[in-house]
Amino acid sequence: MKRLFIFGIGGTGSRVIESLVYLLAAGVEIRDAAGEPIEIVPMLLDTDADNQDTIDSVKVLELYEKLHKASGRSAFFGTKISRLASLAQRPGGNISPSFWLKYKGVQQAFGNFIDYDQISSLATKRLLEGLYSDENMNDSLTGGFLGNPNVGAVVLSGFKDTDDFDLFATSFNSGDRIFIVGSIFGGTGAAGLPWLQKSLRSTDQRAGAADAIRQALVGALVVLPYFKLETDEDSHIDSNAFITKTKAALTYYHQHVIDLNAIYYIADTAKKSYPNHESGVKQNNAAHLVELMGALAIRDFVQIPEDEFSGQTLYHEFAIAKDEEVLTFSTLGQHTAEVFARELTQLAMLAVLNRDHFDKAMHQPWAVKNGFTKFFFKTSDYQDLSTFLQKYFSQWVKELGENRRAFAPFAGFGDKGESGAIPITASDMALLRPDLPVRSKWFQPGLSGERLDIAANNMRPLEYEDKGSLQRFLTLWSQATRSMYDDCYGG
Amino acid sequence: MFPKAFTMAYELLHGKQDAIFRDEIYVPVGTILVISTLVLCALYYYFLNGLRARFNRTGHWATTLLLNVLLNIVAVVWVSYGLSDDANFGTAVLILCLIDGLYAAIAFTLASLAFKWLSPHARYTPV
Repeated sequence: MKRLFIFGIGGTGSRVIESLVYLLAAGVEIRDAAGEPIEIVPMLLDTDADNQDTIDSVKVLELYEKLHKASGRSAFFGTKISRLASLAQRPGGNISPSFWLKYKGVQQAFGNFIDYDQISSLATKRLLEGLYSDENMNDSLTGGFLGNPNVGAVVLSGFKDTDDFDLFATSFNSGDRIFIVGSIFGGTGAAGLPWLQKSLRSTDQRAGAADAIRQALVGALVVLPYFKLETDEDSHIDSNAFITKTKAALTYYHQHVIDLNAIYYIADTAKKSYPNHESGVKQNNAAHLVELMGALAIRDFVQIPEDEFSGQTLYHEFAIAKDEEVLTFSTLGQHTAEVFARELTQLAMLAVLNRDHFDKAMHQPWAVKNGFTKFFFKTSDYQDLSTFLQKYFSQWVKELGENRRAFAPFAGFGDKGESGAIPITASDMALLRPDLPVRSKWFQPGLSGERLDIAANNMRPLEYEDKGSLQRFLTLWSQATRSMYDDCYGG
Repeated sequence: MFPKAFTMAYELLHGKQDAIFRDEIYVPVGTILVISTLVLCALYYYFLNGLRARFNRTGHWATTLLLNVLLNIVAVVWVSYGLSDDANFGTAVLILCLIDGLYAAIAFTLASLAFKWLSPHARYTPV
């Protein structure tokens, strides 16, 4: 199976990858031009050790990895996601065990990182003083680059000497592809994107399959400003400079980032101001449509046939059908919605059933004949699924719907009692897709837990997976929700 | 054959009674029991639980069983009403009501075991 190695740089990189995980969990397929499935190897690069966005993304990736192993022939969680460490013949050493690649040398101030005090040449010191402020020199790198790509460019260059990079290089096979995700209006992404591109293509790069990497198809998602930060004089980051920094970065990229096969640009009018937390656990920005659409770029890149590149760089941008504050699948654009509307709706159905219904449905034939007793719903496998759906997926949907610009494809995921919130429970999910209400017919229930029970009861017996297993559960519900989607929304 | 079977079944618990029971009550009451059981089972398993999946709890099944019992008790009263002026007739009818109710419950349970396998949404009801 061919692989797609994805470098998610900084907070935006990790949030785009998190969005990708939800798409894959819902059953959106990542296949190459020949229709073959692709293995995804996400690598998060973020020196801000406490960045809550990255921490959450890692948790979501880890849960997905477990659920994929248990998913069997289910469409849910169907794409294989592997951590880099799992590709090692002999794991251990300094290989990062997590999806989050951490490398030595960043647990200190930037001045110490470059051994500023040990530099004997006065000229070099003066040059560095010209390039870096005292603040730059004294800021701890554990909090990331605080919007300073000039710091990030130096620190990140150390990554190519790590065991993680070696492992990436040795695991790379001809035909695999690479995708880089980062924003260019902050510090980490803006610094990491050009550095990584150069490292991959550099003739000095000799580790592993260096030639294959140099010739590999490399795509990048360049995320331009899409949010603002509240003004805070004590913060290192001023979002008024986002546009200026973006212009500077784009000018630099135009001249120096020239060896990518595909570049996807995405941005939005900054409509929402986030709290100004420059790093750490408080940097926990709400999910945004831009990140979700960015994740679709990854899928797009994989399925472009090799011959379409033919020595040129393909440039892509993204547009929505209607310029509205709150978007749904109907206003997003038909072509885009077709990629993931059904799959995401199926996962939303499963999340509502998990929240409101399954504990009351153990007497249903689908539960009895497949061995889904109360013990099944207490297994760690099922609890992982429940955590994924309730703690992460539902929260992500809620955040997408509350952000600006909002993408609110589903009702029922907002906080109860909020003005304008449409209450959805498993007993009545007719307005789950507010853009496409489902009407009930005489003596036939509308979209609800009951109707989904009917669909699940009508599924042919599943003989090929163990009774009472999560494999069987996910297979059954991927089929039942698919049939319900076709029934209610016309396929 | 059926008249004889009904008579035997009722006399098993009801004992020897006036000929009027054998001639005019057991057979129609037994026939009603069979028909009501089959109709209620079919309605429960193939209509109610063929179109909906919310009536398949044991409680719903027990309610239908109770309905069958009540229906058959009413049937005994209806069939035997005005057939005799005998002072003991009323007591005998009352006992037959209880017996028929019991038989209705047993018949519904046995029919359920046969009907449930083809029901889309109640094939595990009651068990």
